[in-house]
Amino acid sequence: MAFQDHALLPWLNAWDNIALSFRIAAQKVDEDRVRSLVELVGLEGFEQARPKHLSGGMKQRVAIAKALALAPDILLLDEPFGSLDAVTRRRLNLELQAIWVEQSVTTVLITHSVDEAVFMADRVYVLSPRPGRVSLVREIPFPRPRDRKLTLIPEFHALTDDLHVALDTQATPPDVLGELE
Amino acid sequence: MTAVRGARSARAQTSASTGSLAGAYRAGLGIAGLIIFVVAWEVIGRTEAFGRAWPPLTTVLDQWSESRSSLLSALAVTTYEAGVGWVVGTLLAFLSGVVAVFIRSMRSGLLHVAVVVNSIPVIALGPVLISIFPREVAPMALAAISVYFTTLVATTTGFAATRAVHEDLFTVLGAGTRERFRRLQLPTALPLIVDGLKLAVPAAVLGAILGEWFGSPRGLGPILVATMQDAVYPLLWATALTGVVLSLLGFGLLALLHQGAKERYG
Repeated sequence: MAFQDHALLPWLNAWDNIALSFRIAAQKVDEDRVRSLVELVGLEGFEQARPKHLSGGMKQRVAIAKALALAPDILLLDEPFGSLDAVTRRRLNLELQAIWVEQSVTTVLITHSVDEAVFMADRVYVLSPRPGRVSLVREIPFPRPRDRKLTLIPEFHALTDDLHVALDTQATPPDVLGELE
Repeated sequence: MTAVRGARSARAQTSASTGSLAGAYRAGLGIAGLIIFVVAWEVIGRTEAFGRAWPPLTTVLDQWSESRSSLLSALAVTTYEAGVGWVVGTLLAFLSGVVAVFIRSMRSGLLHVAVVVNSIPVIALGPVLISIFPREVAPMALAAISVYFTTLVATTTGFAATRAVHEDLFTVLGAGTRERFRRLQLPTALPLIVDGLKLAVPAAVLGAILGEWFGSPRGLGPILVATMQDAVYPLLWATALTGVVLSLLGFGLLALLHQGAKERYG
């Protein structure tokens, strides 16, 4: 599980933050595993750096490495890139794909970005507000690995437009407007 | 209370580090304040604006160097008493705080008891302590009691100061109470506890001196009592100044430690 806010412990360095999962689970820290995760998220050389010395993107990468540490069956990502700038966010989208290539793990990613959802997902669930229900499910047919060019093709835009419409129509449902008046 | 102070000083720290100019400005203000204080003391003393009981600073300092040896040996005694009281009070407060973490039902009760004890006037506690402990131990006991409350508040506040997102993380990782305490609450609390220990130093010195007041043969307290009764004001002030310097030194030392703890665990 990785959180919206990176949730790293400020007094531990990157390495120990990743190893924390093992320690709390009362397991021996698998040094090779931690090392490979550090490499996987591209943080070699920053193992000893504490979170306040890392950039927002790097912190989020540590958080993802930490979430992967115990080889979970499902990876839950709650708006992991929400607090990052657009450029870093796009780069991490690509990096997360690279991570999936090496560690194929079922991932549930929560996001407010329709582009991000279509770009990353095999299947997009649109949730409705109050009550929070699945209001739309869309299969995303694009093959993997996907690269940035995907976001330029018409099919991509058709899909994102559909999802935008689905989101917008429910954003201000009539009954909510009625309540306000 | 301590948490708010900590947050505030943390913010002040960030703003100070934005420019050495701002730091120099602050230091300049501090020095200016000190000069005004010293000059005002001297002027009030010389003009006897508040009577003979307020001697000029220079007279007090002269008196201090004249009675240096007896003041320093009294200082040593008071330092020892305040130090022992500070350590004992701190340990007891820390242990109480830890107990409160592990025994949930004790959490609010403990603080209530501490508040009640803290609101009993020291004047009332003194005679009780003297009847329980020997006269030489009473100052340490009073210092320990004075320290206990501040440190307990700092400790319990510190253990509760964990961020919600870290709590969530530990829940997701399936951490038990012990793991949570060791790996989350203790490191989170450390800067706040050290901050509390800093505030406890003047409390310990005051407690020790008041404890001596109730009939201890040695230390700064008896000198204060004697000089007050005999109206020997310069020596009274010199003794008081000695106590203040002791407080400030301890406070400054722990302020440095607090800075380090904040740097490491903040």
